[in-house]
Amino acid sequence: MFGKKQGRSTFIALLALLLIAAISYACAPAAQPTQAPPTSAPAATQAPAATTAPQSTTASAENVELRIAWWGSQVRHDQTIKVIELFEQKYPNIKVTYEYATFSDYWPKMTTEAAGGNLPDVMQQDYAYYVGFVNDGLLVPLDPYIADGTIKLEGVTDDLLNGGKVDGKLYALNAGTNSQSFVIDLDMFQKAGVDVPKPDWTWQDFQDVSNKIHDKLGVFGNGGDLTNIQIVNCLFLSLGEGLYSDDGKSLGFTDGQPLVDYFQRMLDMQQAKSMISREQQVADKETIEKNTFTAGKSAMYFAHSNQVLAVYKAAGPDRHLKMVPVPRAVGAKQSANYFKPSMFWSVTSQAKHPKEAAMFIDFYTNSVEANKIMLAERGIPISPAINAAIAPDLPPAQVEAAAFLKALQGNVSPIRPPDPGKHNEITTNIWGPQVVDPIMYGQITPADGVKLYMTEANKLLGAATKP
Amino acid sequence: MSSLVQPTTQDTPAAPMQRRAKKKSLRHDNRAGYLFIAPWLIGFFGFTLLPMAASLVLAFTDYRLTAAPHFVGLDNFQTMFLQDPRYWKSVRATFFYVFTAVPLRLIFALGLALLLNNTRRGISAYRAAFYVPSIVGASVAVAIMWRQLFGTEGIVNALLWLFGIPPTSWIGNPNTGIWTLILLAVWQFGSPMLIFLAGLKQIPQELYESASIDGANAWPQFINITIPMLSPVILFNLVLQMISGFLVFTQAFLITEGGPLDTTLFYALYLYQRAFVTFQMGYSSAMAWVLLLIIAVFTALTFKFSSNWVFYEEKRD
Amino acid sequence: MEATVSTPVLKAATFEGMPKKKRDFFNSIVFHVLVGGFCIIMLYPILWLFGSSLKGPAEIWTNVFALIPKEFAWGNYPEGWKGIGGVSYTTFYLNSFMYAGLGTVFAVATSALVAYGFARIRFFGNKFWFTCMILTLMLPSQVQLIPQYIFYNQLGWVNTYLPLLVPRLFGQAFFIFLMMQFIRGIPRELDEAAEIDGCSRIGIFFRIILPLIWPAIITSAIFSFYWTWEDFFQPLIYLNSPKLYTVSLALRASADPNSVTNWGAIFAMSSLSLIPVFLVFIFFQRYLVQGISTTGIKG
Repeated sequence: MFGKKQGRSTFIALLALLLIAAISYACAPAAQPTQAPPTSAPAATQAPAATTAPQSTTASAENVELRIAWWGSQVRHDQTIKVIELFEQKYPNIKVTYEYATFSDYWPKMTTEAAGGNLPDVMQQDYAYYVGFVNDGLLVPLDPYIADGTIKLEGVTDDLLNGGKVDGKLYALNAGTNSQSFVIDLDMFQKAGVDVPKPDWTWQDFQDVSNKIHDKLGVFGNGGDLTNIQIVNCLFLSLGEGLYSDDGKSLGFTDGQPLVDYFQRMLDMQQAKSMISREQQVADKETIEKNTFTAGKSAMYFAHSNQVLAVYKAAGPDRHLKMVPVPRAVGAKQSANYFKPSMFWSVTSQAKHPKEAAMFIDFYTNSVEANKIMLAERGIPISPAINAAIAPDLPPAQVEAAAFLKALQGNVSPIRPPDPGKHNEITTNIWGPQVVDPIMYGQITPADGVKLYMTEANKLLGAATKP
Repeated sequence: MSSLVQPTTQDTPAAPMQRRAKKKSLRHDNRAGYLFIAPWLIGFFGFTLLPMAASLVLAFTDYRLTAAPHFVGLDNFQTMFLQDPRYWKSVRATFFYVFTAVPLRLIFALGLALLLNNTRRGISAYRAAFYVPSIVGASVAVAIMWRQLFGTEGIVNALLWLFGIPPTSWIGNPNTGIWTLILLAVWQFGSPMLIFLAGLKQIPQELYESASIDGANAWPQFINITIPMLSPVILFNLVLQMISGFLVFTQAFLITEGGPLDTTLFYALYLYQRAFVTFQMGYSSAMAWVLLLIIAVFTALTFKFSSNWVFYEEKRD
Repeated sequence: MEATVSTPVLKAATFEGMPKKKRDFFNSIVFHVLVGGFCIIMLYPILWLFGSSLKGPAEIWTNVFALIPKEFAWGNYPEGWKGIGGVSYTTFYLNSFMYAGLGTVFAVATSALVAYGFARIRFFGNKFWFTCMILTLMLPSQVQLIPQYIFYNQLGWVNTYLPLLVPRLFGQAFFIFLMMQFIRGIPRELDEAAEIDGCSRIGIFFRIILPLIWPAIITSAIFSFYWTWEDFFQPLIYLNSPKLYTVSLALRASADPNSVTNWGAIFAMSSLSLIPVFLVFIFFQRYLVQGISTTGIKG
């Protein structure tokens, strides 16, 4: 059956496929996926949205089916679904269908739906992704709904909203605020005779503290991987710069030396064994629940304030833990911390019921009952009234997180503009595999690595601005 | 016996004409042929061909899922071959995997299938036990489990410590990372093993009986009966394991995510990242079609050389 | 006839000088020690999984390497079974059984027919279509997903099981090729004899071919069930409503490394999710053990 003809058959089959591809591309534009994404240009997207569901701000009185999507794990799913049930009780004519997934599954699902013109009405968004969605015309501005009172933002300060704005329009509403922190083990600090870090500590202090704890107790100073791009952003923020320039068309810094020093510090700490080795970081792939810190083998751990609950739970009730701000660069001008919307709610341009979508976002933001269920799971709510209302119900870890954020108030740096659309490509294809790994495995020097990063990242960012 | 020992794939030319003619009537029949394969043809034209063709077209565009594609000519291929260091790393990792994991897995599967193809007491339990690892599949649990086993304080290090081998981070070490995935693939040898077992079952016992009567020992029986009779199934496993080896994805996706140092960045994983992490579906499609060509070449070569060793009972006249 | 006639390679490793009975006994011991020992290595990770499913939250990441928990947290199972947002694993299991069950029946039944066509009938274009079929196995599914989604979305099939099940009605290349190889191992004389007896082609397929490729069908069914059971990516993309989620999709959706996750419950449900697949294997493998009746096949 498969004699000499095999080669020829393969060739003919491939040729045939090519031909069919060419024909189908040429003569059936409407049925083709190449045409299917309904968003050829941002301007065009408003049109189909307007025809199916007028951008009017009147709620439909008829029965409406609203679609909502988010990422998270089971705890967030359970809580959000309860909130949705409350919402349905309040608005009996609205029936909500919902889709949930983990962060890594959420994006394939959402982008597939976007390609099919089938995005849900309400979509949870991320700081690193939403600008790309805005640029592609997939999100609608929420300003009209704020103007007509559908979304009420009483007492919400601008600094909590600015993170969701592109070109002055609010596309994504902060679903909860967090900030960057190190969780530290007070008992270990005490045993090692190390003072609790001051809020303005530097990475030099961090290194000294780590080494001292390691020398005295034999545990690691820090558990976990500190090459997360978010931490690098904080590093440059403390120097009055940022990871990206304001217009997002280049990196936000021109002198890579602070980053070189930072990498050198990590290497030195690994050399001194006060930080777990790169090999172990990669092998054990620490999560907020499974890491050397929760296992009691390190004294510090980096976490965002809304993740601290998970760290506390996994570490067990016997530990004495505390949150401190992220260290600053040596010679810092300002705090390395900033208030970050941990995630957003947004309304898509493919929404069939944008008005009801806005109503849900309002409900989530302003309903006391809803927030008593969520209990700051997505971060501290933006509404001061809600914060006051849920304060008595918060579990200890969340109380600490809220206190931590309160203490930071007035002492944080302003948030940088959202990450440019190329952010994902830069972190996935350049930062991790071509910069961090080669430096941390000792294949290239920190200086060479940082140089490569700056060249390649600027190339991508610059290319992105070309038409 | 002798015709068995000499596997031939060609019809014997000396077959009587009369028999040949009758056989032709049975063999050549367009209507019946298309009738039987009609379901597949409908599925192919209805569900498979269009997406395949579309992905081929997208390979020449900058499609990124959330915006309409633009035609970019050969740009994707040019970037891939000339400007993307990670691409070549993914090619290297994939070839390494295919040429280690696939043969190891097949040898294991065949060995265990032979060992378990008897009627000893408890054999079903053993067979089940060997198959169980193959059903843990793609759950999050398997990723955590595997990382624990090979973790710095995992059971593998504990065992090796008994033999005086110092502990290391198997998954985190660029020299050993890929081997943990190969080991995982070998550990999950259940599916080729089952196919081999089914193949062994199909070999008529009479062959062995008459061979025993002829005084043939175990080894000649293995070489002269088992291997030739099993050869269609061996070919199947070889081809399909090779194809799935080139497409290897799940283990690296769940456990290593391509690291350390891109040593486990398998082709399909990189393609997935390009498609669904950075949303460069055009580039991803271009990668996919190059992969298809690579696999097609290797598969065609395997089929071509298979005529030398694969023996089809149907062709024995 | 000896019971262990079928595995010549084992016999090669026997101890030639001993009396036969003693030799068999000795062989048996060696076999069980070797294979049994190997079994334990194979099963260790599974035992670890079951062990972890019984650990409480305080123990699960602090007493990671123990197979047996200090305190048995049986509560992980009922806790996990509650599922997500009021949809329990009862629903997820029913969905999975429907999906894997129907998917398997569809795929295997059609594949057998198609395999017969490809393997036994010579027709114009046979090789061409076969090549096309093998080619479909080589293109990574990830890049076909978007066009498929757009296609099914336009049919209005999204958020139903149709995009997952309907394509299976038309056979799957892997199983078609597998069964073809088994069919081609059957002597053609059997078909001819049946034809002379006046059997139609359909008759030949059902009376001669099907019984003889039973091991291949069983094997295909085992695989198909398992692959469908563990498949999460297609359900993830096509199913929106959690009431339609399968077990593997629910499991994945429950565990996000960046937020609070109930790992004990995840391990418990992961362990449970192995059981149906395992039972299907146990049930079907009986047919593999029995083998097929070879009477009538010329040697």
